[in-house]
Amino acid sequence: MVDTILDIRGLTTRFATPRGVAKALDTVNLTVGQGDALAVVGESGCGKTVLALSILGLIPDPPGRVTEGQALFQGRDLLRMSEQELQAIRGNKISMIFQEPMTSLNPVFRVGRQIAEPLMLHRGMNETEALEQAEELLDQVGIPHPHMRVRSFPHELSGGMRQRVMIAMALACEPDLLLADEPTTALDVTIQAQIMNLLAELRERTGASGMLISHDLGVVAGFSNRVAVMYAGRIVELASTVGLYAEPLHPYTQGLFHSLPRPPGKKSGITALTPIPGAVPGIFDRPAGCTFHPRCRRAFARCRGQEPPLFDLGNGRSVRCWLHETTPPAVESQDKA
Amino acid sequence: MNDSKPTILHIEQLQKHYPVRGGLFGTRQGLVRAVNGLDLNLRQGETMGLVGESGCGKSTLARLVLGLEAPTAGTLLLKSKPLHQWDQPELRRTVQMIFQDPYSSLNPRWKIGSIIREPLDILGQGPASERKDKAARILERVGLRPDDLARYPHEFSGGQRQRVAIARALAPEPELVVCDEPVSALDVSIRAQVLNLLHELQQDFGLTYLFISHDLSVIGHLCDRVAVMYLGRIVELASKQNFFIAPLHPYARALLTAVPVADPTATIRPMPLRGDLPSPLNPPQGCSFHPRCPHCMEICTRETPLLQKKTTGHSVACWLHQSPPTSHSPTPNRRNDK
Repeated sequence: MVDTILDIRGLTTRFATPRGVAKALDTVNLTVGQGDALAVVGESGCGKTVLALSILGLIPDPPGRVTEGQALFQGRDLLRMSEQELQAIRGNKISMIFQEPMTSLNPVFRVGRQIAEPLMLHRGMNETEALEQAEELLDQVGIPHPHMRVRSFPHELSGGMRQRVMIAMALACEPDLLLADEPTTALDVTIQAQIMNLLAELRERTGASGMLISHDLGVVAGFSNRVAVMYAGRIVELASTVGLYAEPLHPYTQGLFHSLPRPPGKKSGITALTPIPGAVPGIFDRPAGCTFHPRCRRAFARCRGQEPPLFDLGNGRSVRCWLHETTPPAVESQDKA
Repeated sequence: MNDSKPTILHIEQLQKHYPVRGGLFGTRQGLVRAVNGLDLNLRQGETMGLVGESGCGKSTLARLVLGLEAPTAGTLLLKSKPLHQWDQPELRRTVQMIFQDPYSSLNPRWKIGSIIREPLDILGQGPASERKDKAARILERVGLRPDDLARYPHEFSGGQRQRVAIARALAPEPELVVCDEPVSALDVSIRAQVLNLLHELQQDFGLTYLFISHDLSVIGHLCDRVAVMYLGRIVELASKQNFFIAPLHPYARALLTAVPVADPTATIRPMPLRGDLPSPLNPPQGCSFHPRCPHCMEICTRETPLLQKKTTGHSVACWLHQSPPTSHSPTPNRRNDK
């Protein structure tokens, strides 16, 4: 068994809104092993991004607050650290790549300066050393003419280049864990392929663990070895990537796969897709019982009345669905023991 | 298979150049060649998929086809009549559009009923009561309830809003619908619903779609033919089968390689393409793809290849697939239709 680098237990995040308290994350249990690449998949509003922000202590408080649970990073609970302790870890041991390279770079500083900042902060380098290192990092992420590019401002770079700068910044301090929240969503497919190849290559070279948040089952297939599928703030299926793609078990996961257009075969004509009916319920309209039951083709009486626990099917696979009811060893109860 | 169908849209050597002004006196500093010598034909009832990276001129082409912009040069015939000779109401009745973002394309202060009725009101189609009935019918057809007419856009989810946008586009019973990334902003499960709906509506109303998308899986699902655009030109035009099974242009092959496959056991193919799309302000000499092309030859840096038929239903603009000019270089048609 690999060592665990990140162990999330019972993580619950709530937001206070004028309409009441919204539970954006509901008792999430997840582990990322050393060297693992975990993908968190789900549609908008399922809590993927809140999960990443909760781990890093970046939930704006108020209105949000992590109300329960632990996030053990190398054995220490991130949620109980002071802001100072967290700052020593963020951008150093754990770094994050955000979706929008346009908004996550500071427009008034040269990119070299921005990459150098974590190096000066965490590694105690002086400005000259840090800028030299920044140039080296730009070269590593495949930016041509790095000695000129360190002096560029973000607006002088294309979207793909900016995302490379973000990656260079995230890698500056050789993090043990890299969180990437939809890193390629704003990019063209050709640039997406370049960035995902780069991430895989860098992870291989540095041995960093990765956590990728994405809605794209194609991107996830190429990056991860484990997948967590989220729906309405909860994990509904957890499996090895190969296992999940070979045989998705939760009706929601199955629905996601059926919604994907398949590459066209030799015959012409169009076969209709099988979408999931309805839409993801709003955070205040989550139904009782299993939150997926109103959209589920296989729902039965029990699904409407009682929420299923995450059933452990062995082999690192668990499913939150009454169709897969096994004798109780739910992950939640195990963790508390 | 659709070869016998009449042409609804004929585009030949279309150009749209935008001057870039700057400096103290606003003098012209350069020219953005957003659409630069583009040829395309749409047949009645087909779905033409238009793919390309951002900045290649897809949306400018859409605006030209809709008559929202006047071309700098070239021919644009809608039902054999030059677009600029159409009168506005008749053009709007014939060509409609669906935009990418259903959050910004619907007026938040208007009720759904008014949004869908607006084109009918402007075009003066029938008495008021009839227009109201029609709006209700079309709303039901796209999968919403007639009593949703009295609600506001904010009461709907992204997928439902896109249904409203589709209803508005179809209300005046257009023949050609320009869809500019209509499902890109939607979640996977909702995207499938909207794709199915677009296909059903096409069958029911005999619509022709110009379907712009950067997502090849969506194009592969919905379209009959695929046109690949690169820096303002079509570089490959093929039936869907030909395109997905035997793409010819190195750029088209790169695009297909870049599509992530939802299969973890698939071998990861190396990305043959380096770098970004060059600026349309200063496109490279010769074939505009040559700086990124893994097969670049000497001629590619000098001469621009034209779109030529390779086999039935498969055209490509690439020197790998055509013989170089012998005596003179082909001069692009510079007829000005204005």
